[in-house]
Amino acid sequence: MEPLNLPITGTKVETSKVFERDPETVRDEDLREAIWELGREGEWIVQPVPEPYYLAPTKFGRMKKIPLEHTWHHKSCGQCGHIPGYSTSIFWLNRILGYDYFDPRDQTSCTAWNYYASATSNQAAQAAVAMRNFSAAYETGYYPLIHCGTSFGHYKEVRHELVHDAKLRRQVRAIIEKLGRPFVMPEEIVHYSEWMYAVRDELAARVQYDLSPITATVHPACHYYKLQSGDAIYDPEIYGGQRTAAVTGVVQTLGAQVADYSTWYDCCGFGFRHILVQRDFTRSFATLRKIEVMKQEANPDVVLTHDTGCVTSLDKSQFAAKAHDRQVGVPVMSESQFAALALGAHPFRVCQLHWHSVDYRPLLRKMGIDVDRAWAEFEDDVSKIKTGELDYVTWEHVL
Amino acid sequence: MPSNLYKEVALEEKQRLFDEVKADPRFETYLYGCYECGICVAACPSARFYDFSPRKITQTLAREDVELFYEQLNDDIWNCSQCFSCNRCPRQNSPGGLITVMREVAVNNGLRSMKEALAGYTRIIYKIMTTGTQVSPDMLQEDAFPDWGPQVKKVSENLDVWRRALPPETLHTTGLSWQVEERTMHELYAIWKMTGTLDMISLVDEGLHDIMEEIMDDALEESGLQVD
Amino acid sequence: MGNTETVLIVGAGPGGMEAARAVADLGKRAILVEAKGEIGGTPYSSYATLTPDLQETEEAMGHIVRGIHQNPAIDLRLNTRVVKSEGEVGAFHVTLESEDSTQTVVEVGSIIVATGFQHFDPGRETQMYGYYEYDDVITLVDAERMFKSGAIVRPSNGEAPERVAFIQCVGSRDRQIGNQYCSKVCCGIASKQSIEIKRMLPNAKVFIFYIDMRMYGFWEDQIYWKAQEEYKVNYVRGIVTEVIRKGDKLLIKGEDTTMGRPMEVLMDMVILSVGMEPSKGVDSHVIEPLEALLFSCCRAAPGRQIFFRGIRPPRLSFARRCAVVVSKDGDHGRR
Repeated sequence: MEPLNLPITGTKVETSKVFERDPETVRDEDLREAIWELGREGEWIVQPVPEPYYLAPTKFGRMKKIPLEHTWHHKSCGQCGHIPGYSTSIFWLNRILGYDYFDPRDQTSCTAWNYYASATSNQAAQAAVAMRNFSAAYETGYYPLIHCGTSFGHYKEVRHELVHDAKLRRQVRAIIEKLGRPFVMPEEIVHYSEWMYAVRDELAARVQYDLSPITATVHPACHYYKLQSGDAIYDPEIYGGQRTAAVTGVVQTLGAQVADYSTWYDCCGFGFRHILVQRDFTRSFATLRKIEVMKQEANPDVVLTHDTGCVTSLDKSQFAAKAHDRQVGVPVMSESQFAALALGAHPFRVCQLHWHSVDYRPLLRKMGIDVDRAWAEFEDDVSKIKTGELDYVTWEHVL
Repeated sequence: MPSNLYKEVALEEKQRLFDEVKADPRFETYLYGCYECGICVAACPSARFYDFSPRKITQTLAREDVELFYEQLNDDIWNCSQCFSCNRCPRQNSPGGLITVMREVAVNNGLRSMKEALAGYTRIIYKIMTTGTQVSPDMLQEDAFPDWGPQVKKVSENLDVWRRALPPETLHTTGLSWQVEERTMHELYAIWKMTGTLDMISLVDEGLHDIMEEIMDDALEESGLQVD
Repeated sequence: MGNTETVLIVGAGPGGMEAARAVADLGKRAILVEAKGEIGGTPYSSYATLTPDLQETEEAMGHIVRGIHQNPAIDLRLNTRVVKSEGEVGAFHVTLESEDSTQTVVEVGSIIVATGFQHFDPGRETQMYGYYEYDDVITLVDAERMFKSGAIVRPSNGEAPERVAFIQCVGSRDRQIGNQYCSKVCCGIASKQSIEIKRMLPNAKVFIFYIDMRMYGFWEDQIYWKAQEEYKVNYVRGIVTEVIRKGDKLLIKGEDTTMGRPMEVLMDMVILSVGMEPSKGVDSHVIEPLEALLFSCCRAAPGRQIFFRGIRPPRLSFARRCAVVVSKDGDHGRR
């Protein structure tokens, strides 16, 4: 497929028409009111968003509270398992900004990857897993910040079910009480990319490189904005407020160019089951519907997204496609990794790019990062670990 | 439109499975009615690569066409990507949600097509249910992911030391995605037991179920958590 | 003591005008209150031509408008709002306020609410149609403005479009938006506009993406068959889910449901067939007690439809003529 040589357009709309939301037309029920009401009735404890918080606009104009610190990091099994630079970058950014956070061991996965892949679970189990984790967060005094897009979307589905189904709520409450834990619902369910959006100006103030030559395409995660769709961040500055501003708003504020492409709304092809046992589908979708289209229409230096599954399918699918002479070869990472790089994080000690498949070196060089030196430094760490001179790479090494 | 497939399965059996889907508490908010606008299909990734249509699934359930339902229960639902792009439905149906419910019924009834769809997947079930994390670093092996290129091999060769080269203390793990406390895992086992999730596994893979039951029962006894 | 000889009509669009004329024809007196400075309502101000004959609006409605002005039994109050109403059927005391804040109390036997409709704002659409992202995505109303100016062009570059798509049911028949009704006229208007486009640009390809074509009575032949048979407009059964830019074109994605497959086609221009919502005008008048009125207002939570519903069979039938103009006011009870 030949590149189209299209003009690259950013997120500024190509029209003078301006959408102004009429608050009277907002139909989305504000679940928070119901959550507080159930709290007053003693059905559960509501964990309030700690102050100071940032107020971000959502799809129908309601403002969402985004905690800045005292966050309890609900990690993602896929991120920690095979894209560990993803979570590490989120933690690193918290440390750089001086925000207090907690990285718990009393946390399980949301188990939704398995549920959406195999259905070997049920409503009550999924809700109990969620509420167990919320309970664990509450007991530490820290506020849940969800790293995975699927966990975020799934927990919001669970929340919706628990609010509307008293029978389910009682069943799950009985389970949580059997575990000897309090039954807690957080006031808001917050995704880390919303936190990134909330601190985007603070991040931009610390950018170390000129990002203006960098063109990024953004893949918005389906489970971030298509599940319980009213509760995702929308910003009038981003695509006229008509598409979610998560990721895009951050990357643009950091100074990179964000290019649009015509399969922006498409899924990545992860498929939950497919990525594990039927990858012909995932590979085809990720490369033919996403990467090739981006390449043809925007020729980006990097693809940025905000979910475990999306990074995985978009990055890992490109190797086999290359063998079929497809127009692929764009590095993929989370916006947290990209932001960390921009703020001077070590590409290997922090961003852990050696876990990614597509060659990221051209991107780093274009950003002005000395890749070879960085890799040598990392290799040095590795040999020190091997000889026992070093137990672990620690935060002291990277801050 | 009645299905010509699965004639050997009695209509009563198909009806029974359909009724099970319909009895799910989520069913009534996942399906209102369908006027065949096709919005779900245009948004659906699976519809682009398979002969798969969220519209047809929804319409079949709305029509209560149990013959076609049974065909879809076996031949279609596992193609869904569960991305929920179809939730844009102007009638506020959730075709993806309906499929989640149908899949649960397929599991709970041990359908052969379900077992085929989950062939090769059971190791994942073992991992998530026993550790609380889904895909651990040590599962990134070349033989399991040959299409992901040589980098997978590099990860597996350097796994131990690369995990040590991670600043967050919770990530120095290979068999789990992060360090999960023992008590946390035991609580998870209790949840699987109390919600009948462990029982579901016996219909997917009897052997797997038995292994997990032993692990979980021992752990629960040790931890003293009550599950009755 | 009420004045049963006088009827107050709120809103001077097609419905209100016809109501006033009917009241006058019956030998009663009509007070016709209009918040704006002109009468004729939304169709008169924003449509170039009307269904089914594609007659120019001025020509089709001009005589109705003039009739109101000339009718001695109709007391027309422009730039006026209802600020207070008391009493009961047969004896209402209604306070009107004009632009300069002068208040007048009128005694009327009944009140007819005809505050009309406004077009749906596509920024609220659940589907991704890009009205606020791309100049070449327009609404039926924007298209009428172009017809008035005499040329249909792509707003982005001023060139004549080669491929034009209409998308039906934008803001109608959608539970997610809260508009759980059919706006009834958009199928007719889109078909009418497709004919106009073909008359102006005979080589253009025009598509109408629809769920059902709802034409009602003679519109079937007068507009739908005519567009399809004489003007070769393509009717595709399936609604578009996304409109996104590709190069200098718009890529539309939907399902051709008769073929059962997803489709993606490039267009030069997309026209959104926006439906109707009750006019905000209903909120600018204070009309109480509602339950005593001929029509009760069934306003529910925000976002729910707030059309009027008759609480008893209408006493006056004045909507007959409304059916022939392009649009009726947002009032189901009147039919």
